[in-house]
Amino acid sequence: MSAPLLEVRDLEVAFDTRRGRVKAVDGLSFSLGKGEIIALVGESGCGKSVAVRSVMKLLPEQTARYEAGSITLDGKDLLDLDDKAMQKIRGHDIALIFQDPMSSLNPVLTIGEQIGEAISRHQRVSRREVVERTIELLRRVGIPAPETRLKAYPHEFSGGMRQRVMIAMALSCNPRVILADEITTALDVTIQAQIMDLLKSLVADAGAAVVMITHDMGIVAGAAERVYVMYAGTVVETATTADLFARPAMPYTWGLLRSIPSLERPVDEPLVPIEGLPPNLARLEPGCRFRPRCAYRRAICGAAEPPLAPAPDGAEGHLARCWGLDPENGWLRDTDWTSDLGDAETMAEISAAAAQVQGEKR
Amino acid sequence: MTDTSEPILDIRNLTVRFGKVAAVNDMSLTLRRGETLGLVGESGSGKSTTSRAVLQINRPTSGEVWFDGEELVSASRTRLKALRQRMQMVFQDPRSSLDPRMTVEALLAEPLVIFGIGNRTLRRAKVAEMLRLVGLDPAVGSRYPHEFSGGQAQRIAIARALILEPELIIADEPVSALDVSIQAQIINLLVKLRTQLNLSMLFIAHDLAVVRHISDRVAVMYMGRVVELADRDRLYGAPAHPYTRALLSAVPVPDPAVEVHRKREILTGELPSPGRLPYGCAFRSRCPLHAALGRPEVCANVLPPLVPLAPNQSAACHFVSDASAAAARDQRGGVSA
Repeated sequence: MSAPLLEVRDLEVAFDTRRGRVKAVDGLSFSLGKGEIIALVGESGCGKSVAVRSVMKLLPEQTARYEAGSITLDGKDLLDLDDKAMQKIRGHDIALIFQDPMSSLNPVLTIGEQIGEAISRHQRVSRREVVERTIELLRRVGIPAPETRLKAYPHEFSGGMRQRVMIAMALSCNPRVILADEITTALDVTIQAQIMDLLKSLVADAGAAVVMITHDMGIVAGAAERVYVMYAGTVVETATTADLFARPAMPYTWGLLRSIPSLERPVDEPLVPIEGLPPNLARLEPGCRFRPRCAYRRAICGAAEPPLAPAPDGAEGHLARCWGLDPENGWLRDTDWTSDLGDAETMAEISAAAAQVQGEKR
Repeated sequence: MTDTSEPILDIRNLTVRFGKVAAVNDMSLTLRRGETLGLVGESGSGKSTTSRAVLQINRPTSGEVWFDGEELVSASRTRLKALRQRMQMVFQDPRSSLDPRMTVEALLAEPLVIFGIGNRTLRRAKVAEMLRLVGLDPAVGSRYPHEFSGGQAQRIAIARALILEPELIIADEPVSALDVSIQAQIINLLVKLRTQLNLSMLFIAHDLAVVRHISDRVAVMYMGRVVELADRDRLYGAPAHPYTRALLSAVPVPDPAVEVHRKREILTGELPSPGRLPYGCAFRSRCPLHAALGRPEVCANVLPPLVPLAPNQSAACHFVSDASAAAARDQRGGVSA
């Protein structure tokens, strides 16, 4: 792989809230090469959406603060740029596609006007050229009879069509990096398959690189080359997609894979949920972030946060954050995650804690 | 599951129109006692309208709904209210279905109060019992809905639906708003409760993998009609209708080794507008089989009826035998049960 196009290093983003400062992203690192598709996976509140918005520097200025780390595009640190310089990068070099196309499209402007605006914002082109380019873009994302659809308004399009329009808009300036935030979540499966195919073909043709944000392991398996599993603001495991699914290393990833209903699992095999509840970031306990829900935990897990270290399978770039994988004292290095579900007594403790309400008494 | 007893729910030729749009179109379906029937389909296929029409929340335009031998569409308000005690609903978004100003205890006791069941002490005990049943500490009764996570709130909504000891539960996308790790908790809870309380359940969802985990039989809806109905293993193992097959092949599988070799049947086009449904088979505009057969006219002229193919499978397609043959041929590339 060549030098990374986009690199995020030890990023820390905090928000000021009424309950004090909350670190939504805490030590996130990932890198994206040219023509690559990577995925940030995690459940709601794990910081994945904040992470992509921080790359675009689209976080609310009053409350959000970059506390540490760097975001470099082609060796240039975006955190050093002022707002004006950043505006040149947004849309032109990096484009963001949001989850819900209905609320990101302007309902009172036609589709043609909105895509045209994206084109003329960054490039000096005549009005006729804008129209031509818009039609071409709509054709590329698979909208039939684009000439006639230019004057249509967003409400006249279906959800899948609107998502295509959003993709067309993102592609309007040939960005090198596309950030796709849960772009298929609101869509039906048959339309979802169409959109994922479109995204993959665009990467293959245009050489753009994509950071996919999703909670769906199925989407990840079909599209991404590398996966970053996030939990409570930080990466807990990363590997190539093949390694991650074949030899997941740490208990949260195991839990995620065990709890997904899949058409491929034996039908009578019950799902194994991750017991307990995701942590409240305003009140993180010391130690491993996943400890409160981990059925394999031991005393050391509450003492300090484990480092993101090489996983036992030794595959290149396979890292995991878990004391149980420690080369000297690790107790999970040889665990068969499909059969060993952890300590039953610990599991009962977790369920009992989950039956309560988190947080302070009224 | 026995077929011998009378079905708990019998939907006959149900049609629900909103203006010109027929959201549910001449649909018939039965739910056997003690069984869980999965109802799947994409948005706009009429699954939620069906569930609301069954409970008479939306009044059907025509058709009949029989619940345990009584017809609901023609039933009086008073009779309906009495019957509703025996059939309850669980909604998708637990937060918007729980009144934020009521404590959990008041929320759970409310159905008992409405039906005049028990006194204060008895209701208290019952609330505590229900909370324990859904995996919550009875001490949380004094809390308000906003203090709970999404998964906990759905447990509360389930407890509220079950407190009247209903026989029929209609669950409309009960897990689709939840994170995967929590989703599995709620699915397992529903599976446990259904057995423990001997519930009959209509389980509505768009996620075929979720439906597979909980259903005995599955009905697939497209544009207001059932296009395939089969036993779970049959539907997922040997889907007959081209729409069912396309739907199954579109579900992403969380295994890259499978995904790489998977043969996808990607549907072109989108759902037709329900206000302007084409004549004949509504699926033909996107149907790969229709295209492969050279667009036979019968699909455009005649609405295919739901016909039995096997004792435990029926489908609404003129060329369903061709489809099954193709399914058998492609089985390696397709999805196996």
